[in-house]
Parts: sequence; structure tokens; C-alpha cells
Amino acid sequence: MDSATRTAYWCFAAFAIVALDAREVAAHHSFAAFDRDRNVILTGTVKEFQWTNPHAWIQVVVSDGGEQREWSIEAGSPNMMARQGWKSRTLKPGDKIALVMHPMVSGAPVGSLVSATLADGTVLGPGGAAAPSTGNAPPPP
Amino acid sequence: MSASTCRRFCIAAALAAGVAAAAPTAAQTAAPAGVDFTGIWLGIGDNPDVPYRNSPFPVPPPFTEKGRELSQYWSDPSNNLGARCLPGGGPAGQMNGGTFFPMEFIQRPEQITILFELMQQVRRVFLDGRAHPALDDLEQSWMGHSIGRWEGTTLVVDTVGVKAGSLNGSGSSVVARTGDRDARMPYTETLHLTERMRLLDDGQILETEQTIDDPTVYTAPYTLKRYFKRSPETPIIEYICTENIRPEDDGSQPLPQAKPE
Repeated sequence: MDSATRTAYWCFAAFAIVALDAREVAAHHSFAAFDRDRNVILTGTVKEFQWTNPHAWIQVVVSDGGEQREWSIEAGSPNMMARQGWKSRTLKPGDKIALVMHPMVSGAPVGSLVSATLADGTVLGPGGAAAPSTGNAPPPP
Repeated sequence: MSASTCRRFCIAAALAAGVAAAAPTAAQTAAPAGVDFTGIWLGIGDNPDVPYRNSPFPVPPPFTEKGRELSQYWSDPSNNLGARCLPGGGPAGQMNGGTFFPMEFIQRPEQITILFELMQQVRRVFLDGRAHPALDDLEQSWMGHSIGRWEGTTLVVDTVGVKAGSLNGSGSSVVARTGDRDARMPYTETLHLTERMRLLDDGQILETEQTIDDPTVYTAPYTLKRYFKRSPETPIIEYICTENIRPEDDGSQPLPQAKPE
């Protein structure tokens, strides 16, 4: 293997690992409804935190051109999230949050969580097996 | 005792003696001293600190025509068992070496009980020498009927009677390792699963070698190795799957509407 091939190989390997990491969110069902090639940042106010199986959900109200719009953001299982530092008390109504999500392909106000940045700057992953992807976390809300 | 009675007695005695003589090579019933699978285990996933790797599924899969058809069926989200909180994957799919959900082994001489965190499933492996039920009496179940025996320090588990599903992607956490777009690996009621489980690295690693033999969907059996790390620091957490099934999760339900433009 020459040096260029080796570099290409490692680039591919690194990409493959990242791609695998992104998929590590899904466990319970297919995530085909979400556009995993798109990362969208949302900043808003938590309306409700559903700490439930099979998935936790964050209901977040976002200002959209003067209009208030509620988004449903799906995270992992609370079991997996707990192992990444989440608690049922991590979010409460009224908390500010910034998050990265994969939006639903249909355009519905639903997203699959990639990472969440809390008001104190804490970054938490979606509750997968791998460490949270903090590389593209938005700044605190 | 008449001559014929004597002959029958002698034959019976000879058979009994033969069985007794064969006993040391027959099924070993007790676990060898010091071999204890009891504890909490977490799949190794891609853990770089562990010098073992879970096997990928065979590419291309050795599908029969029916196998190809069922692979397509299970790749349709509206057929996803997990989305309806049904434990797809069966015993092999649950013990997939993935890192999402731990499992707990409780080993007793007559039975090993496996408690899966995912969907709080329970698997019982009978070690008391019983056989599988006769085909006419065998009822299909999600975990199937498992009987085990010890071969030295290896536990050999034989499973039949598993309800049809997919080893990956349909209520099985294997989805994470294979990707949503990869071929689903179906199994049917004709699955005969053989697992060879043993401890490695001073009991810190559990290896299971799964042989998937299902002539309905595969032209030949194939074998997958799965590894688990002893993980007492990962307590099993309650998992009630039906707490909050939302339409976004369930492929059989209408999805929320897009915002009208």
C-alpha cells in the first residue's frame, strides 16, 4: 500500500467510524424517516422533557420568524442516556437549550437529536453507545 | 426365572451397563469448577481496548429466494417489530455484541437465566438434561426453547422454536452495527441456533459463537462471533418499552404533518 493509498484508506476508515457513530443513536427502530445528512441547529425553550422508553423526547419551542413553533426532538433510550450523564431532571420546562438534530425528511417539525447544549454549557449526546459527538455542538443558548 | 425371562433380563442389564459405561462421555451436566457466567455483560461494540471483534454478517448473505423476500420485508419500517415494542432479533439478535443494552447472566447448576435490559426480556437455558419438546408440542416464542450442556469449559446451547424476525434492525440493537441500509438477516420458525459460549481473559470476556442454521432463508449455515465485557459498573436499568410509543416511532402510524407552506 503506497502512502497516498494509505492516507485515503485512513480517511475512509475515519469517515466510516464517524458514520457508524452517527448511526449509534438508533437502537429501537429504523431512523429512516430522518435525514441523517442534514444537521440543523435549533435554539429554544424546553416545553416538556419526556424521560420515557423506548425513547426520550424533548419538546422545544423555537421562534421562527416571530412565530412560535414547537419541535419534537427524539433522543435515545433513557437507559443509554443515563450512561452518558443525562438524568430525568437534566431538563425542565422553561430551560433554554441549543441542539443539533437531523430533521425529518417529510418536513414535519420533528428531529433526531445529535447533541444538546445546556444553558451552563454542558454538552450531552443523544444517548448512544459512543461518546457524545461534541465536535459540532452549538454554543450555549 | 425362565430362560427367556433371563435373556430379557440379561439384555436389559447389559444395556444398563452399556449406558453406565458410556456415561462419562455423555452430556456433562455440571459447570466446571470456577466457570461462572453470572454477572452483567455489555457488548464490546468497537471498544478499542478489547482485542476481539464481533463478526460482520456474511456478504453477500447466502439467501434462498424466500430469504431475499423476507430480508426485504424486514427492511420496511412499517414491519419493524421493535417500533411496536416487540422483541425482534430473538436470542441471537439480542446477544449481538452491541453496546447499547447490558444483559445479566444468573448461573445455577440446572439453569442459566439471561435478563436483557432491552425490553426486559428473559431467556432461560435449561441445563437439567431435558430435551426440546416434540415438534407437535413445540410452541413458538420470541426467545425460543433453549437447552444447554457443558463441553469442558464451553457451554453449548441449542435453541429451536423461535418466532420469525430479523437478526438486525427490527427490535434488535444490531441495527447500530449494520446500518439501516444494510440487508436484514431474517430467520423463521425453522431456525436451529447453536451457541458455544465460553469465558476468556480470566473471566472478563464472554465469547459466544452463534451458528445460524435456517434452511428456509439461507442456503448454508453461517457462524458469527459475539463478545461481551464483564461490566459490573453498568447496572441494569428498568425498560418499559410501551411507556411512550409515539407516531413518529411507529411505522404503522401516520406521521405528523409537515407545516403547510
